[in-house]
Amino acid sequence: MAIVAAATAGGALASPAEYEGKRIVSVTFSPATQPLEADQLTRLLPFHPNDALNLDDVRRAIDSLYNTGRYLEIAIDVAPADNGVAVTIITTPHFFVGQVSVEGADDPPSASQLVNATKLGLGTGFSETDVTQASLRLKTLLQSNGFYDAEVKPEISYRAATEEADIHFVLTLGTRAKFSQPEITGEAGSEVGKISGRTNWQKWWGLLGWRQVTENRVQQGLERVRRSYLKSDHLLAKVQMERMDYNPATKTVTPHLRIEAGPEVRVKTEGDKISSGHLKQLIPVYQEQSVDQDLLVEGQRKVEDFFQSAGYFDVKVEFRQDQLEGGEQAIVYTITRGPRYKLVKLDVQGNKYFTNETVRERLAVRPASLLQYRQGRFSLDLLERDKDAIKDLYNANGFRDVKVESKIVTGYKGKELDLAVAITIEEGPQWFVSDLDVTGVDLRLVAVIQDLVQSAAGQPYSSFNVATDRDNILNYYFNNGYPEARFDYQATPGPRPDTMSLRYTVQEGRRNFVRDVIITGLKQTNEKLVDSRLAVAPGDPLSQSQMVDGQRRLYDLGIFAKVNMAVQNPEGRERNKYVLYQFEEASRYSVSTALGAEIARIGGGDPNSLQSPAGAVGFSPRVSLGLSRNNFMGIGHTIGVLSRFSNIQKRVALNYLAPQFSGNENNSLSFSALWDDSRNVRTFTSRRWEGNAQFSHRLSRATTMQYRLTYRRVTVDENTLNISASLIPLFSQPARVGLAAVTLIQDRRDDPIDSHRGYYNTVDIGVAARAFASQTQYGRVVWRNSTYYQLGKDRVLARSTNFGWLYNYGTSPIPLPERFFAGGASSHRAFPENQAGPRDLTTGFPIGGNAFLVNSIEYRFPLIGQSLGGVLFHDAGNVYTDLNSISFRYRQRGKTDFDYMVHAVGFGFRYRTPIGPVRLDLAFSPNSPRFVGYEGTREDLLLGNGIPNVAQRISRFQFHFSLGQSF
Amino acid sequence: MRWAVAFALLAAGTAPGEIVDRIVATVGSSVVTRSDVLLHLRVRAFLDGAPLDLSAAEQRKAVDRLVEQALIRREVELSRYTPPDMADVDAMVDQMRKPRLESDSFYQGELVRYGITDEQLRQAVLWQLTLLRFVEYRFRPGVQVSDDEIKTYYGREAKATPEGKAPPPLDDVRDEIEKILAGQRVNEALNKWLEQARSQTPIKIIEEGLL
Repeated sequence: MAIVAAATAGGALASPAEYEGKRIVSVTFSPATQPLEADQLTRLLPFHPNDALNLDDVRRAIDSLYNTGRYLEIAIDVAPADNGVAVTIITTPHFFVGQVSVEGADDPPSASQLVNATKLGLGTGFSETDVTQASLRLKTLLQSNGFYDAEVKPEISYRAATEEADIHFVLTLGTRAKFSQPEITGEAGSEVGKISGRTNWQKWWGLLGWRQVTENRVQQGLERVRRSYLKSDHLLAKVQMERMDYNPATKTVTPHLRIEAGPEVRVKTEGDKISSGHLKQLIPVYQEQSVDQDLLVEGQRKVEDFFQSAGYFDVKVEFRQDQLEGGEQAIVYTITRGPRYKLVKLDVQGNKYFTNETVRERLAVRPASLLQYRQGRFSLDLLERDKDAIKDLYNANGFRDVKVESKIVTGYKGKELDLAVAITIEEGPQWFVSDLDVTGVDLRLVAVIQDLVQSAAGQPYSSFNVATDRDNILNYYFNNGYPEARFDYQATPGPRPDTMSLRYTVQEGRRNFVRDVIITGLKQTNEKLVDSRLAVAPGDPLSQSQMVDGQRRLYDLGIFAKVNMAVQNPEGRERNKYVLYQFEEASRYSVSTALGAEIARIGGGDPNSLQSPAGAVGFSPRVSLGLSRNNFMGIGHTIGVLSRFSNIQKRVALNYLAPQFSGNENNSLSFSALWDDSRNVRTFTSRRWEGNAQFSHRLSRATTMQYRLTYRRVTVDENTLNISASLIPLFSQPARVGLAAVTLIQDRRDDPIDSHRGYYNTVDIGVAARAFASQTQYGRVVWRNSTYYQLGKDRVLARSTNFGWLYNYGTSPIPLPERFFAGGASSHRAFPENQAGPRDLTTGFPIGGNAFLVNSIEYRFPLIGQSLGGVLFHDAGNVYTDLNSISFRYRQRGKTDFDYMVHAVGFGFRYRTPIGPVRLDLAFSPNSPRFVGYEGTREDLLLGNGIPNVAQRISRFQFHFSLGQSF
Repeated sequence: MRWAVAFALLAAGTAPGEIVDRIVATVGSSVVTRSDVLLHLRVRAFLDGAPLDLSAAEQRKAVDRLVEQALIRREVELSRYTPPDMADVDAMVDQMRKPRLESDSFYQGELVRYGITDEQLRQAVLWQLTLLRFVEYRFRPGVQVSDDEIKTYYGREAKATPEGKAPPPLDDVRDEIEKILAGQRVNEALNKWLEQARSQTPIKIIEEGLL
């Protein structure tokens, strides 16, 4: 800047006034290329050619230009010109942080951690001082991870067109230092000799030397030491890292720990017992490692709450601190728990506007029930919260004067320990909005804004609704490029009693638009792919929600580890702004492995044996391996291979997935090739070679259509077919199936994993025809309809009906693996896996059918606490020989009759986990099928050496263990 | 910064006249220009009745004062303090003109001599009143002066009274002492606040702009 200074140094201080009032001949910028567009510059300047020069305007021009955030320095030069003055505006542009990258990282710290540590925010103002600070921060982070000799060299490159500065840090790390024997200072107590071992900074207890220093290891080591003191009741122990001394000669670090063990502090209870585990959860002294009055009082309250929730509503808890010999401290909580009450009645009265059910849904206090809350759930704290919840409900609906009182009755109906709680609601008048006046809104937006408003004339008046209106209106403005929009409101009494007159005042402020979208950081990914997913384009209003929407779509592609998004120069008052997207691509390969096992009636001894046609309890370990190549060819597609091996199934699948196909997030296209060798139907082993292509199109949030073309070659291993010898040639013929199918999916469930409300419908219609090169011809319809009704707060009535029909319009029978099989944990629970329906009349093994109908009803309810639930269920249905054979008949007519409706009733447990409920179902079927089997091997069957017509029956008792609800 | 030097070179080469105004300091999103500095010095000298000193050293001190004022101005805008009335400004200007500038012609002549206008003067007074009001509203309510502190101050001052001269009774000067101590506390609070505001706001002084 010395040159600008020199240029101005000659100017006399009084001389600017000489130019006052002179005609401006020209206004130019130096340099000629400016960061702002010409029309914006013209709009910003308060003077133009032919105006008279006014020095106040000159000052204002500097303000306006600087406020755009695009300039670091501005000077205005005036020179005499023909009949006036020529004005030159000399500017120094302001640069902004562009791409920040790091080269030479060795995890830990990862490159991402390092970039974050620079604190150079994308799109924020750039200064070289910040880069120096960032380099220091990087050095600190590297040191805390053992790189004490690390060098950090920043390389800055400027992109003048968009005023961006890219900063690339080149790291020279050197060797990562190792720990050495820690030095301990302070009063570490008797544990001092064990501290080094507890840090876990040595490999194999020191046999293999010391570990390398990482920040994580340092923190974990300190935490381990801290925990060891807690275990020995030193609740106030302080463990701090004072410093870490680096020895460059040995490349080792000596940690200096300052430890103050403090006195032993024992927390005890008197009068009643609490397990030590519960005590540690309830008394915050353990977590905070500090003893003060507030924490002790909080502990007292939590212990009281603990007993109250168990029915001891009169519990009294007090505490005291005792100094014991040897400096020990004792914190003693004295518990007088009193009698154990039972909340037998919870009465809600006085409510007219809302039903009892609506009010009770909001209550945490619960009367005693048989299983879930044996004593009821009650505490004074819970009751107060419930009263507040009721008040909030009424307030939000215009009942500004609502009063909620409660009364606790002990000795209810003469029983000393029974308790009743009555909640009385005094609703008061409902207030309404008499009129609403909205001012300050652009005339073109009036209709839009009015649609967003809840507090229209005639609607209930509440501050909650006004707050909702404010949020809706401001969100609309923020998402349409008005970053400075403001909202104020006034409420005054209306012309009629219990009415309010509302006035909303909106200050829209300036509007911002997108100048351009700048994309950086792409290495493998095609930029067109990113462009097509962005929801903002040059000229659009600057909308945060649209920007985030684009970011979400880009993340949904699954090919980016990080999508950083920002507006350049966020604080600057410029009309058109650059939107920046900076990418970090994810690893292109991902490997998945999984181990699992299945325990069910899937066993039955030797595969050659014809015994146990209905299956016996068996165990099948399972291993899965997968490898995916993400972002294939840089277009966001995924190609992968997935294999699964178990006793009953071997499968290898090659998949190709194009999500958000052709830039539309509602479309996806997939291709897959599959080899499968499975014995999940106990009757035979089938092999499948399959290829399919599927196009999926989401019509709405809830509705999806799938269009599928499948080719498969199905082979049944004739040596594994457990059916009559005469039928083997017929059913063991290999067949090529060419199937075109359409599926409609409607999903309006609140939670697909554990649904409480809504419905789920699927209809799948397919045709295997010669036109699709199929050797077998059939039509196929599978329909499912499931509904879920919430009864009260946490009870659900769920129903699911499944129907399927295969229509053979060809001349040869439908291959066995193409038929319908059913039964099992997620189907009909009267049967083991795939054991429903027609069976071979000689061997008794299932042979599937051409139709099925299964209806399931479940009543789901809480059982114990919040995690364990119970289910009562009834399943009815079967797999039938064909459509005409579907029957609701209860009784089996004989051992060769399988076309009747099998029923199962049962009870199940559901244990809630983060990945869905773990399920155990126990089913009893009063009319499980009887049939005949064959005692002997397959060889005996062929030679006629076995014993035919052996009476068999599907066990009436079945168990199913699985994950997730049954439907 | 490379770009700054490059653009400055360009500017020097293409600007044939003289710089009539330029940025000399930036305070967050606000600027202090050389015209602000000169006006500040002119008004200050006028109000003090002192000779006009536009030396580089005075300009530098003025920049520091204007930076602090910019910090306060931002806080005033954010906090939406009620601005003083123009009637208050008129009253203050009238009071200030007595007795030295009571004559209109002399007053106008002095304005010309110092290179300012009546409007600029009134705006400067308005800002000073705003500043005083801000300090009073923002910091005065938090200041408490205890009786012990008043007594300690009184004791200290009483000791310093020249021999043979009796200090006034405490009750006579209690209010005055309280005012002095409160004023000191308010100043301390203001300085602390300014220090904090400085540390939280990017401030840049462009020394070359003052030459």
